[in-house]
Amino acid sequence: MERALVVVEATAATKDLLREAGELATGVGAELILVHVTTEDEYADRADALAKIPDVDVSYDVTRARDGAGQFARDVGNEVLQGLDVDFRAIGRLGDKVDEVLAVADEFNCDHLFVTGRQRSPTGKAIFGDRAQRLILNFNGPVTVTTVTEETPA
Amino acid sequence: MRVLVGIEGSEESSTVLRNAIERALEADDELTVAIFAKHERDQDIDHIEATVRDELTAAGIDAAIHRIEGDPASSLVAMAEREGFDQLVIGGGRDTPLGKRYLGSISEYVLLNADVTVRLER
Amino acid sequence: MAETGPFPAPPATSTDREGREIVVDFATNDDLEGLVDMYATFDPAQRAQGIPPAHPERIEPWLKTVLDDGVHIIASHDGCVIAHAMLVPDSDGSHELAIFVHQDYQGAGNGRTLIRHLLGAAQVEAIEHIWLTVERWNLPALELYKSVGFETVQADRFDLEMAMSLPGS
Repeated sequence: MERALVVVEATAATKDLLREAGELATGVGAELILVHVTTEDEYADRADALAKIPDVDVSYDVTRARDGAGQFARDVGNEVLQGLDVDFRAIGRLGDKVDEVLAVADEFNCDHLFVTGRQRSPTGKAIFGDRAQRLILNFNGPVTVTTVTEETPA
Repeated sequence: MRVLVGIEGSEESSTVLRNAIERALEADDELTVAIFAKHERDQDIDHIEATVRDELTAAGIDAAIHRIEGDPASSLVAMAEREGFDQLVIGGGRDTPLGKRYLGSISEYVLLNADVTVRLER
Repeated sequence: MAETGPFPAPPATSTDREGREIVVDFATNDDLEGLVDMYATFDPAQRAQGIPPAHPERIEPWLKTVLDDGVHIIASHDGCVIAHAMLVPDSDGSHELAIFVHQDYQGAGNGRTLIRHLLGAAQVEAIEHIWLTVERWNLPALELYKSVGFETVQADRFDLEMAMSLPGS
């Protein structure tokens, strides 16, 4: 493992995943790429919400959305990886969560993918999200999947 | 890290084992290999064990080999949890002639049911 | 051909294919202990998508969470719980179905008896839309769900999603 890609989501499980990736990367001297993807829908919702606030002159555009996604990944990285001797780069993208992650993996020649994916249904069954499954099947290399089951987002 | 690798006697599995060995050497993991035969393919468990033993010896790795009895997928998950392994390593899928990748039912079961971190090796 | 209902509602008593007298009824708060006992001896190989939980100490918290809401019925033999079926509401006004039959009582028609009475209970409660997920390789469960009217709605995941709409009773 030389350069591993970690998919950063806004979930508690992401922190466990990142810690595990960080410890592994430290052990073998690998670099981490942290990617967070904002979807077009999330972007539109946020732009709408900001436009409705009077007297706030915020121009929220594609560049800012991408920067915001990158900043989110950087913040999570700084929080979780502090104290570990590991280099990481944070990347923000706007678009499809699977396509963008795979594109980043290609661009940075990542040789390992770290991803969370399990959610919990109302009866407590573990369900594998469509996105996590597409990532697992389409990434060309080993994939580490943490199995802390997240609550289904309401 | 204590790593449990699930190996059946297939071409995919030998890649899984080789990559797991490489990673274990790199990260100084303690490796245990669980082997099982697919009866529908008439595989010989002794032959699988000998092949795995050769690979491990060639790499200079001292790893325990366990034979899995009964249903491989649930036995692997149960063993990983019972014996407190940090990670369970299994095959990450094969490609169909058309190039469509699919996971075997053992890998799918493990992903849905394991309480430990799973590494899909390919 | 799938059964279309109406389905029978609990309570009911029937004899399974092994000649055992099985009582089906709504679960009450007093049944928690019996349910914990059943799940504690549940064959780990038959765990479905992580439930019942592998660790014994996690069974009771899981049960308390799901029993908090929805429709729960149990099947008993000689006073011991041998199966549990549930409908748990989701946030979209629909209900998720799950059913667990202890391995000693499988293959005797008990799953079918239980799911039919659960659907009967659903009709009494005016529940209209029900979905479930099932591992694709779990053929006996798939057959059971199909036989009472479930249809596959999502087949691209590791787990298969099935759903049905119940006519009002």
